[in-house]
Amino acid sequence: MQPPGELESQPKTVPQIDLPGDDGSISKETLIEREALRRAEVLESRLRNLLNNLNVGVFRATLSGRIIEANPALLRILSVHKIEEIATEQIGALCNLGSIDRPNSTIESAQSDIRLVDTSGKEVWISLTRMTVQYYGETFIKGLVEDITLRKQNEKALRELNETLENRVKERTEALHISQQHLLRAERLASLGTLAAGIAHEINNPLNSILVLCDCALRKNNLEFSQKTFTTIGQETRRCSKIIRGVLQFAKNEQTTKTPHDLNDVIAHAIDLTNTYIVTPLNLKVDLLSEKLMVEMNPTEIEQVVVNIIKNAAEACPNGVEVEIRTERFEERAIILIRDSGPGIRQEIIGKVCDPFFSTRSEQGGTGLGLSVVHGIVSTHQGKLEVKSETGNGSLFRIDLPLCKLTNDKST
Amino acid sequence: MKKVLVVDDEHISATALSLCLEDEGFEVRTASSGREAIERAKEFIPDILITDWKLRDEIDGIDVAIELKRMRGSMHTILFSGLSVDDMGSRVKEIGPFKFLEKPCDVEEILNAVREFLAL
Repeated sequence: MQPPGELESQPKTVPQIDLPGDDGSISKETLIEREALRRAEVLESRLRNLLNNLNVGVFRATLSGRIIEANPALLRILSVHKIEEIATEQIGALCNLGSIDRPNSTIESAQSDIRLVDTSGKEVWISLTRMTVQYYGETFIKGLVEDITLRKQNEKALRELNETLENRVKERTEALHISQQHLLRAERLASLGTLAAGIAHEINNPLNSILVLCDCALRKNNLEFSQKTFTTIGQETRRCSKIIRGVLQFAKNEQTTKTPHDLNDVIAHAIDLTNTYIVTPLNLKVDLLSEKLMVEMNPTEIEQVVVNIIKNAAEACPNGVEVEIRTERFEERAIILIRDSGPGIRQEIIGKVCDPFFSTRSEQGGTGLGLSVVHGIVSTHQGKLEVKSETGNGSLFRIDLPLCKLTNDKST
Repeated sequence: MKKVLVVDDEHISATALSLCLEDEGFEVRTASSGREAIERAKEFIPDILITDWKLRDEIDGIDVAIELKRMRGSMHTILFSGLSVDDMGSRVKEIGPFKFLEKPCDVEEILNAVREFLAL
């Protein structure tokens, strides 16, 4: 079935031959010849039929770009009714005019996707398979043309869809980024508010004691009372200073100068400091490795890590606590293990203990800065902090710090 | 003799304040937690409550004031805190007549607040 308007593009090349013999009879040769012609005609008709009904455009052209033959499919693809209507630009594209470089070559096959614009301005995409063939000493161009407009349109639509999707993803990502920034800012402000409230509460309490004590001593005007008061005022002042130091330490979060120190020495010094900073009765069991553990560190900060962890255990156990401190070496890492006999940490809050301002003792004046300072210091020392705990079974803090090169060289 | 209950988890400040109040002629008791304050108030029955807002246990100064008001029908309260009065929220409305003092506050400020209540 051919669509309406379909034309036979080529006149019949085989003429009707039906010649009688001289005597009016038909010779055997003539009969054979006639039969051969009939068969050829049938064959040609079949081929033409095939070509006419083919969905693929087929053409034959001279090297100069004259189209000799074209099937209906080609005319349909090019939106023309006959060969003569094919536009010069279309012929140029089909025959690759201007770049036929090897006209004498017998077979030159090439496949390409080409964009054509028909006379009405409509865009047509074709897949063109073209070859040059020698035919009775003359070179022709033969081509197969497939209409791939729909495919190209689909590809374009898909590409556009992808771009749209990409843009949407990009937009969403940007929106997400912005809202994340807002959230971070809100969080920071909330943290700042919590921090400010914590500082206010923590510092105003001792300040209040100082003020009331001063007034009281002035009113009493008694030397012995005043001397006791001064001692207490001194303690309260140091308490204020300690809180401010803690806040500064927390707020600092910067790289400090680090030099190689033996971790064992630093821990031993930190343990001495606990006498000053911790009032709770402590039963300390210390087991430090005899081997030096040289770590690039700020010793004051590492001391603070140890003191803060011990203090944390002590604050959870006002009646006294047992704390075991060990150092170990594992490959190129120095390990500090601090285990306490305290009440342990509930599983639902264990992930939060290092969050700034998180405190189970906020009512008792805990600022929730102690362990967050520990976490910050361990991080700036390229270390890892692990907390393991079970309610009723105490807590284990494991700090893992990289040994410095010096020790590595010695050990190897 | 007028009776004052001083509630503060800061032991030093509670003691110092009670000494000053005693010198001014008041009968004073101290408590370091909300629970202790409520227990003490059952026998002591103060005329004036001076309390820190934030205390160590789950019962804070506002709870103590509300409870004492419930016990006595009315309770003159002096609340002080290191935080601002705005942080207290609407719960503070449930307590009787009160004065808020921001920490740090000196003894004279507290005594003035006490005297103002007694003059009423």
